[in-house]
Amino acid sequence: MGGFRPVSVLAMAPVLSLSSITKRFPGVVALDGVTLEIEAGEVHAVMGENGAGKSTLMKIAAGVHAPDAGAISVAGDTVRLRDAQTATALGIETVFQELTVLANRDVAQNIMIGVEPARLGGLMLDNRALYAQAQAVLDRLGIVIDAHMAVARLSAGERQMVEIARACAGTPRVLILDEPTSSLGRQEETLLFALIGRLKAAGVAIVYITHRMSEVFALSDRITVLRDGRHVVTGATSSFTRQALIRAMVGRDVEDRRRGAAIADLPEALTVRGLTRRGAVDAVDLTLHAGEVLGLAGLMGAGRTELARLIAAADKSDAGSMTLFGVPYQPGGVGEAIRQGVVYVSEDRKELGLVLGLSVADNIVLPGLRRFSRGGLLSLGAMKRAARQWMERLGVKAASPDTPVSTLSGGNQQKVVLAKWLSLEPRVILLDEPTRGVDVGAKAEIHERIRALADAGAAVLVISSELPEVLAVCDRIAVMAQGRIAGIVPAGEATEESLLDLAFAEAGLAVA
Amino acid sequence: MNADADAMDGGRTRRAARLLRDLLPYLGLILLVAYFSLASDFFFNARNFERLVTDSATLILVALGMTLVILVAEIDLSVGAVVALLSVILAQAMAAGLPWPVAVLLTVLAAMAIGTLNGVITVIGQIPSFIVTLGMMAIATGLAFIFTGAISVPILDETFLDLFYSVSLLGVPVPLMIVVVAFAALVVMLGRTAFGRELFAIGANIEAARLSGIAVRRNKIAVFAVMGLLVGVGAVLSASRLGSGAPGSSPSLTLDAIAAVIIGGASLFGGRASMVRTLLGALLIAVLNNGMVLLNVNVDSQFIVKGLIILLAVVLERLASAGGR
Amino acid sequence: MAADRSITRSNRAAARRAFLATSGIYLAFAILVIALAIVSPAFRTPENLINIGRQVAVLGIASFAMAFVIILGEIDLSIGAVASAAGVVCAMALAAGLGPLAIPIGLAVGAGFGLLNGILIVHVAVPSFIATLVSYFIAQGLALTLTTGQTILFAADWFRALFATGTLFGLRSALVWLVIVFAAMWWLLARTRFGAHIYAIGGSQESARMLGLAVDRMKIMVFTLAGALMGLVGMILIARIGNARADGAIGLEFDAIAAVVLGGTALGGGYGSILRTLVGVMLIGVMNNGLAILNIDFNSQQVIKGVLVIVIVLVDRWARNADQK
Repeated sequence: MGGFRPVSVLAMAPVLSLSSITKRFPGVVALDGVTLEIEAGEVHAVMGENGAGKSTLMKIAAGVHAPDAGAISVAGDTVRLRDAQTATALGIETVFQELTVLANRDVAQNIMIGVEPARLGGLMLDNRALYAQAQAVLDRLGIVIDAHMAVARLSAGERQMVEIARACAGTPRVLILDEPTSSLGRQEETLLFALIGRLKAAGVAIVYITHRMSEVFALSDRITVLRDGRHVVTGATSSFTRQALIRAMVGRDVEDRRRGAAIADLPEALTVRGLTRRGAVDAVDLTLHAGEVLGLAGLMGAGRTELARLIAAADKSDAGSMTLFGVPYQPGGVGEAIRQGVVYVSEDRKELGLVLGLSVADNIVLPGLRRFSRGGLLSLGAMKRAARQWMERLGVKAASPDTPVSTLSGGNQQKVVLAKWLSLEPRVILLDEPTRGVDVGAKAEIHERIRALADAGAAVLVISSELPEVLAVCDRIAVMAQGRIAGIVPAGEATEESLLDLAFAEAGLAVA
Repeated sequence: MNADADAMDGGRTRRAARLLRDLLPYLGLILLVAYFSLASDFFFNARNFERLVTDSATLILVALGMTLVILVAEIDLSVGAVVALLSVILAQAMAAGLPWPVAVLLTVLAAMAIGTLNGVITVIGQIPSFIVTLGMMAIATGLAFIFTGAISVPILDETFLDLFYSVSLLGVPVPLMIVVVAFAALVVMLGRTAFGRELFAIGANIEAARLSGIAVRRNKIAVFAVMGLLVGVGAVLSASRLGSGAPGSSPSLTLDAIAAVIIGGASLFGGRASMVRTLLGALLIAVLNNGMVLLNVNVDSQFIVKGLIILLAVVLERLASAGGR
Repeated sequence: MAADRSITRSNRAAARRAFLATSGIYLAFAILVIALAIVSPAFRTPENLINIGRQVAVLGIASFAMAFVIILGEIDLSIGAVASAAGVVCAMALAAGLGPLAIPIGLAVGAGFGLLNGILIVHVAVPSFIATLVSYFIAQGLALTLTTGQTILFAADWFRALFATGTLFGLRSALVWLVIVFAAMWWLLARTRFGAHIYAIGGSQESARMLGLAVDRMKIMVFTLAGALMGLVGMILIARIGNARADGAIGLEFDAIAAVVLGGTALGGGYGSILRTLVGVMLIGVMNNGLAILNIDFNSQQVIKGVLVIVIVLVDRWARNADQK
């Protein structure tokens, strides 16, 4: 598919050019001198592992973030994207990964936001035109949704389509799609792909971000790969093989580390039977053994995080039962789960894992604070000693235990998160995307730590969107789809393809 | 990395603002004391200082409680009205013939009940605390006037009045002693108990705190209950100082207490606060109140002065943390 | 980003709850009117109904301003004090013989405080309940200082006629202003891009920013507009009684919040309407009037309103929680 492009386009300046873009956030360099050139009428896939900097780059193109260094030009003219409005005015439309659909408005109001048909400079909204135009956009795109519907009543996939309709309502020169298929069903996906084909034919430049290999090879003309905030390679899609693409993303050949241990011989640590949370997790059965690392793979929104949160009692389940080392396990809250030795390490380090305002030491001792209480008073010396000990054990690089955790790099922050939970010496540990946004060195250290935990007898569950990581670290891999367990396979027998098949097969079933 | 960012543009202003913010309660207090000492012959003497603290005992106690509330990212707008209501309850309980210790106990228990109620509605009902406590303010004010028919209820029990106002133990007036004890207890609680330490985490990132196994809701309700306790004791001291239960007393107590906490450099978004600095902030307000009376400054313009001081404090806070958001 | 959980579509129970939540206010209004009409013959006279209309003019305008602010996702605690201050300044301008110039002056005082609120919230990043509390005290201090506790008299019949006592088409001019402001605010919120973007920002400030809406400018504009309307309220107040007092509009913010939440507007922003706010205003107006006729005094009314606000917000929160499940 796709190599065709009119010759005249090649002679013109790229419709969107981001050159040498650098962006820092407190504690991390998200982008380091990245250059990306997008031409009219092409579908340009941007690939990379989680934390590679794709979404940050797209937010810079959309005017949401300002770059710390670098230049942006549109059709050859250097521009400064002060805010999202400026980008939109230049014809750059974005469908963000975190949906921006407003749940308190109806479909038409969302699609036409900012460009509501009106007279007198916006003082007289033309509601009839609003709904007519919005419906026209939906019809043109072949999306079967009534423009009058309240967004609150739409499914996740329908909201995604509304978001796409909003981006296409004007006449975009560049359309950025950040993980647009993550919540779509098969039908909606087909619709989206047809739509992309038509837009491309009309000369719209499309930047497409996805984790799904099949989509990349089916849709894109060119591919750019980012890794750890740096540009790795750009080239025609036809010049890549699947394996080459993975190598570019991961930065090494994926070595397979398979363990032969017979899992069935290990003692059962946690059993889950029929665990359900309406709309997220559907009657899940799972057994986790002491001494094993169980991987939990699946697409975004498959219910992996939700399942882990149910086990850790961060959310309430609607049905199901669990046992912990043979004893019924029904924690009433996170505190109780922790006391029973079950901990959940969140994927969202900054929002949920750490308290950024506190020091490294305060973060490490936080969940076990009451254990340092002697007669009602805390032993500050013991707290500091424990924190220092765990910092050393995990190799946290910080000036002192009193350093604010917000000043640490992403990898070191993640080690603080691990220290915080490992200091409780848990029996069951649920790790959600434990290496997201950390550099390669720290990633390897964290992988070793995970293995060591299991070897020491803990039961470890690792949720990861990076299939190479799952294959390398885990003993068995469970794949979730649509809130259910689609299958459990020994890591020795699994390949990326077989895991993806499981993740998609179930999704296809549910749509039909 | 962070040092780099600091060294770059704005770093100097930010450091200056941070320094100024941290020094504000100290500097402000010293400057005010110096100014009033020069401007008034009656200000700088031990007798006046003792009276200043004794008179402000209620404010200090309430401000210390407000520190906890703001630390967990909540607010209590009802304290002024509740103190007035409690002083009325206390006076009427004594007028009805209850012995003063029973009346005091009753008052403090009522205060804790009101505080706990604020906490429960805020936390369990998931309603912003400014609305809950605004409602409580209306309720308390209304009840205080209904109970009294808008007339102050005199307190005639000499023992009670003496104990809280003129008698001193070891040369220290009783209100001052209560303030010292409460302050010490709160400093220990905040710095040296698991409960206190957890409050910082709750205020800075409530979801992370919950996922760390902290009983967020219970702790927040406890904060409102402690606030109630301090408000109750404050109300007893206020009633003993005025010698009556007055429904319209302490009109500016709520603002003064919030001002003290803000001058003390607490973050209005929660997670950062200090008892020591709130105490300084409260003393600063107390000196301002006392000095302006001595200088015969129009009482009304105090509102403007205090408003401007809070303004200065929040602007400094903003400059100090600029870029961090 | 947590996964979306809207797989379960609108089931019948949710629809029923939504219907109850939306129609509850009209039902409550009807029941209240019928009950009062049965209980009190004095209530159902035409004069009394006109009387109610006149009484709600001030509350109505204040509530419409408050509705804008709350739908935007913020709160304004300063409106009563700002209206008082604007009234006082305007009265002094009239007394000084400035004539019609007093009108822009009064509006400017209100708008100025609104602008201060907006700047504090947007550029100093202060939570709105604190920013507007600061304005509250500065405005109150200003009003008290300017009046030195006295009533400010002015002789300007044209002014009184224009804002309160005159009649147009048989309506008192205060009521005419209410109708004008109602129409303008309804139009602005329901029929303009400005209004559409207020809902968008109230729904999700972050999304609105990513979608390219000028969030900061909108916030400053809404608070300035609310402030200017408080200038108008201040002028209606002084025109009605022919003099100005520093506490002319004290507590207005509470009644306005009560009316807005009674009208089904959610604290937290994104939902609500001017029409329904008007019903909330009428409800408070009828309630105040009815309670007065039933000889229930002002203080009891305060208590009732305090309880009412908390209960209404609780019920609203409960209905929304249930709806999201």
